[in-house]
Amino acid sequence: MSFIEFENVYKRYQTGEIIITAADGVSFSIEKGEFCLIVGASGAGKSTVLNMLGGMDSCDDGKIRVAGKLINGLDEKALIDYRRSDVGFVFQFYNLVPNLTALENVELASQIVEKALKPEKVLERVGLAERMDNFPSQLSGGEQQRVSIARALAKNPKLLLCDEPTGALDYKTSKQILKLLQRTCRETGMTVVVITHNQALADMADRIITMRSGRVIQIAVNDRPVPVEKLEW
Amino acid sequence: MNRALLTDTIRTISRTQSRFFSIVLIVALGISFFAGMNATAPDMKDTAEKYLTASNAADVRIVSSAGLTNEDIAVLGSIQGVENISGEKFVDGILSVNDQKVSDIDGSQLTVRVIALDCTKAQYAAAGENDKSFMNRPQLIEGSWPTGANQCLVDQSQLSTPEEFKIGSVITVEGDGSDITGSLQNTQYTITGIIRTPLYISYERGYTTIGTGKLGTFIYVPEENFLTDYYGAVNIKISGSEKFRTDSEEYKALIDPYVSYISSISQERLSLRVAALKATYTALVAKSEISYATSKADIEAQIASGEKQVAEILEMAQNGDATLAGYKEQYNQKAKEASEKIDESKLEHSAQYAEWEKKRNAYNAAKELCDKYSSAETDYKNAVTEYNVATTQVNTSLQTVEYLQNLVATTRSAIDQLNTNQAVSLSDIVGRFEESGLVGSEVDQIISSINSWTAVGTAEEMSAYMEPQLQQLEEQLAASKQELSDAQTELANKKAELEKAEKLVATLNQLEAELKKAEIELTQAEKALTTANYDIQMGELEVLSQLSDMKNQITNYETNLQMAKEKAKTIEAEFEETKTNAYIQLDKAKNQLEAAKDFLLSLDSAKWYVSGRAEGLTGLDDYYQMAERTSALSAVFPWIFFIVAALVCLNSMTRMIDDERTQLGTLKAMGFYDKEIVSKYVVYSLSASLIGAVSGCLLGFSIFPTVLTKAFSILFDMPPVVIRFRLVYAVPGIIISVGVTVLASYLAAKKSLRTSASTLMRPKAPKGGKRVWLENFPALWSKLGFTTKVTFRNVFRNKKRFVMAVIGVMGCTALMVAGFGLNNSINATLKNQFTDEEKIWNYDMQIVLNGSYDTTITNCDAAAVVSSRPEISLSMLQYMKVFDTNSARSSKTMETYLLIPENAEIIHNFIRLRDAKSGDPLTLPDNGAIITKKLADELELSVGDIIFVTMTSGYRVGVPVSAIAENYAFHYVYMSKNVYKGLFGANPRYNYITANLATELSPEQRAALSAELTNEYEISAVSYSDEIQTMFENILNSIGYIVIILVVSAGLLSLIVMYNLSVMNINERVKEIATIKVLGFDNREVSAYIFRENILLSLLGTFFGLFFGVILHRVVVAVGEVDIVMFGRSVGFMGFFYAAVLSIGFSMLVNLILRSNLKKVDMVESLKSNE
Repeated sequence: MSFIEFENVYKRYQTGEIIITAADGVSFSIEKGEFCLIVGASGAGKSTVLNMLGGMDSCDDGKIRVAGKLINGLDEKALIDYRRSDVGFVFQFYNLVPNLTALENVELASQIVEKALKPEKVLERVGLAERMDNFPSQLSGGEQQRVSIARALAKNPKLLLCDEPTGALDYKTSKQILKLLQRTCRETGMTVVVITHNQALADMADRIITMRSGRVIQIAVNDRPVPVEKLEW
Repeated sequence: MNRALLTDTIRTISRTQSRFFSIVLIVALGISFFAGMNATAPDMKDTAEKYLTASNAADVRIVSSAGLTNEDIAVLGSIQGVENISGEKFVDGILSVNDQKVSDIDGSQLTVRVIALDCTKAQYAAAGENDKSFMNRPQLIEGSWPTGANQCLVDQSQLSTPEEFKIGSVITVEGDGSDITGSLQNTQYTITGIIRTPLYISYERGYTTIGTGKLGTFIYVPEENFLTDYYGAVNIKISGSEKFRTDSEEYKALIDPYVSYISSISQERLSLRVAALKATYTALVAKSEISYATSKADIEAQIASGEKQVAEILEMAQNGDATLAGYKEQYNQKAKEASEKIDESKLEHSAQYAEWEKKRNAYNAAKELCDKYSSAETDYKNAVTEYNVATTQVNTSLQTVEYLQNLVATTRSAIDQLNTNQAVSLSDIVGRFEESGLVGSEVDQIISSINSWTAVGTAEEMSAYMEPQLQQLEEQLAASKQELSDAQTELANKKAELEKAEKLVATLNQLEAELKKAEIELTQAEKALTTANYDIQMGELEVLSQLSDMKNQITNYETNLQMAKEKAKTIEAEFEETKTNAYIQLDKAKNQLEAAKDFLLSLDSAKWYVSGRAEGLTGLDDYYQMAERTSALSAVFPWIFFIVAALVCLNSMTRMIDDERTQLGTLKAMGFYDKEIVSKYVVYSLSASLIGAVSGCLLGFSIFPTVLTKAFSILFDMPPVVIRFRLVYAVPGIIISVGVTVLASYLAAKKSLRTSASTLMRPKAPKGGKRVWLENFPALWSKLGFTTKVTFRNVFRNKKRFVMAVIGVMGCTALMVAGFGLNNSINATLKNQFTDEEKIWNYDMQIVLNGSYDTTITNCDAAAVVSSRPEISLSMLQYMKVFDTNSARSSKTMETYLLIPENAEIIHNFIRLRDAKSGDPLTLPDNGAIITKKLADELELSVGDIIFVTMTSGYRVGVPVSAIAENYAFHYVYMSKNVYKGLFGANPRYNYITANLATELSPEQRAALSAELTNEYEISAVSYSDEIQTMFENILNSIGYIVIILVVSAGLLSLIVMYNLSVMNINERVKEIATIKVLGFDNREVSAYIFRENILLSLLGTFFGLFFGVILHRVVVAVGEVDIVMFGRSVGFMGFFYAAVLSIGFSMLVNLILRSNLKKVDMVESLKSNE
């Protein structure tokens, strides 16, 4: 049994008269503590997979299991609990509450979870000890994303989901963020799933799932992931 | 605009219906308030104008207490520009309906003005004929025009007319202490219709010279009823006046010169009239005075003689008592004597009775004794018989012995013969026996035995034979001898017995004699006793009959005396009545004389009251003022709505443009001109606000004037309000609301377009977070919970939203505070004046006297009658009259009651005079007057200032204000009688009695009490204070409409604003909401996260609203407050409470409605980039 299992998962959207099959029989599995990349072009269905994995969306068919628990069968309340305690989410556009300081944004997450980590500690870990009291608008993109990661980590989740975490960041900052994620994975043993369209990142991951048009076209396991610093794109 | 863009615009509208309609709605609400409230005043004025035109209201009206003559009319008619002129006859009186006196709203007797009406003209006018000479036309509301002289039309006001004013009821009009029949043919009228007249527009009917001085109501009667040749008023129509509105300056400019000109000639005209009247009245008064004096003397003489007669009768009745007492004493004496005498005879009788008893005992003893010896005689008789028997026995025995001896002897001889003579024959022997003369069986036997012998035997034989016989005979003889001796012994015994019996008989005889004697004596005693008894009975009978005779006599006398006495009483009562009637006549004569004198005196101060429409038509001015106050109200209220509406629209549009930022950028990038891009938002906002504005205008123009005038309808007798679509308010309203909205959209779009297309297409940089001022207090801030901090930040971040929400909720709360506060104020008025434990009017009833009494000269019997009633615990004579008051500080003139208690010591039992500020009890001072609070406010008077009271005669006095008393209904000046005397040089003439009931009375008991009291000549009407209270409640309840308007509109405002803002808030923060959902917030937490802000905003808004409400409440009270009433000034805790609870409740409701919107937010939104 793997930590994450997708078993023939389908997701269809109907827009007007057209039915878009966003996930077309997706099957894969990810082991606990892996740093996994889901790679694909825009519209390949990777975000759909992430949404379903994060309990934000339901699948139309198939089975999704996380830590042996069937996710697609949960009722709304159980789903909220799942999101609350098992999943940390890192958004492409950080989604920080502009009106809250970095610390408060982290607190926003930590206050709803009992096993939460101390927000200050988490921020320190992501290297923002000095900027805790700044508002998002006073932070750079990379810093904001680090706050976003801190917010996800503060809940001490089993699973960290990142939707194009570097999508809005420059090269250098992107590297820093990726490094942070990789380090987190290695140090805490947390399972990290990152969505990206950047094929070049493949070498840093333990597992690479490639998608196209809603299907998984390749699953590769990398025995020797390289540190982010060594990657170039 | 390009077709695609237009299509896009239309699509946008249909896609964002809720936004579009929220703009429509809020604009409609704002403008309906603005337009409606503003239109109310002009609508009211238009209504008045239309009414005045339709009823051909006079331009100038002249009223004179001295009356106006036909000559006056001729002179006035000749003034250039006077188009039409007509005289108006009227007479004032006291009214009763169906024979019941009616009380006015202030508890006084209802006075009525009987106005002459040309019914024919009135009907023509009603049919549409516009005869300009027929002015101040009444409008028939119900019923029909009079067809006979004894029919009338009545006032329609709910306040000034009694309930009994119904078609078919009969009205009686009488003079106030004077005779009205000199002026009116009929005094009884049947109501045929209900009308409204421009002469009386407000519920206040103006003044009169009778009653308290306040005119209560009016009726119209056919003019042929009037016997007078002068007019009470003259109405004038100025040519060209119809060209101008009554409230216009032009009209004023046209009419005012006439008013002042006529005023200027009035003195000249008046002096002629006054001179004529004076001549007539002086003579009349002089004559009346003489005749009054004569009849007074006459009546007094009559009364004196009557009094003497009555005294005589009374004395007789009293002497009769003495005689009766004498009779009674005699009777008692006699009865005593008689009873003594009877006792005496009874004593005698009892002695005789004792004697008789003794005799009877003796007799009884004798009788007993006699009875004892009564057998003696029988014994004696028996003894005699026995003795005789014994004697006979002896005799018989003797004969037997003799016979037997003879026989023996004969036999012996026979034997001897035989023995001797042997030869004797049988016959000889027989012969011998036969010859012996012996008779007896033994002889016969012997003979027969001898005869049996056939032959004589030997002698021896013979003798032998004869011997046994002889032997037997001798034995027989011996036995007989024995018998004889026995009989002799027996006889001796019997004889002794007889002798004894003879002795006893003798004794008996003696006893019997004695008995006889005793019997005689007894009989005698009995006779004596019977006689004595009879004597006694006869004596007694005689005495009794004598006594009963006396008694009858006494009874008769007594009955007669009683009758005499009663008669004396009746005579006395009759005399009293005659006396009272005489005095009443005298009073009446005096009143008439006084009235004539007063009239004569008033002639000196007689005046022509020349006025234009506003003053001439009673209450028109008040009506205009009310319209003004309404427009003052519209200067405050609608703005709250208006501002909020504008803000909401502005925000909505700005938000919309922000939403479509990318599209803006795209279009710009495609090469559209700015104005083309902007046109979409202009069209959008224009169509939304225009639809809202126009429909709001339509609604506002029809709803507000209708509802508000409905609230005032009890105060003003006006036709239903004229509803007009007023461009004056519609256009600016529409322009402002549409303009603001469109301009806001335009500017927002313009501002967005100022940046480059590429920037536009990129997400808008998120607004920076800011610290709120509260964070400057770390001690406090750090204590707050995390979500509270977030809430505070969010609340204060968006200033626009903050201001709008706070203003919206504040407006809502303020309106409700004003609404509930008004309600409280109204209730406070009622409570403080009428119902509270410490109510100001503490009296139960008011009794109107038929005249006025200076108690230092004449007694007021009614006061005694009232105070002697067991139902009434306490009563007080008072003087109460209505006067105008004013002050040096204010131009206002107030209709004020002057109240003077006869006994200032007890006034607090009826009216609680207490200081308006401190609430301390007040007593009537000796050097000033107490005035009521609102009067003081209106005249800007404070303690120590002088208030001027203008008497009907025009005499004006100033009196220092010594205290200001709490009061909520009418205006009063309270004075002690000494102060009054000091001011007016005369004692007050008391015309009212105020009284308190000892116990609660049932309606029947009340009716009975008032009926009995009004039977008193000096009492003309009785009213109970709760009747007045009911009338007040009616007035005040009409104002309650305003409360409903306020609360309903407040609710609407709050709902719309809060909804709008909340929707906007949610829309703005969809991504944030989605994000926190992704973070794992559950629905409750999400709602709390967002709605906490709403709640905080509501709390803030409510908080400010409570303060603002107090101000608004003052404004509303100032508008709603009727002149005669002072509302409570405080909102009351419950008002604040309800307002706060409701406005927070409305916000909660909005939150509740929007929960589902929050639920619907898709988490996937969080993944989208900022648009």
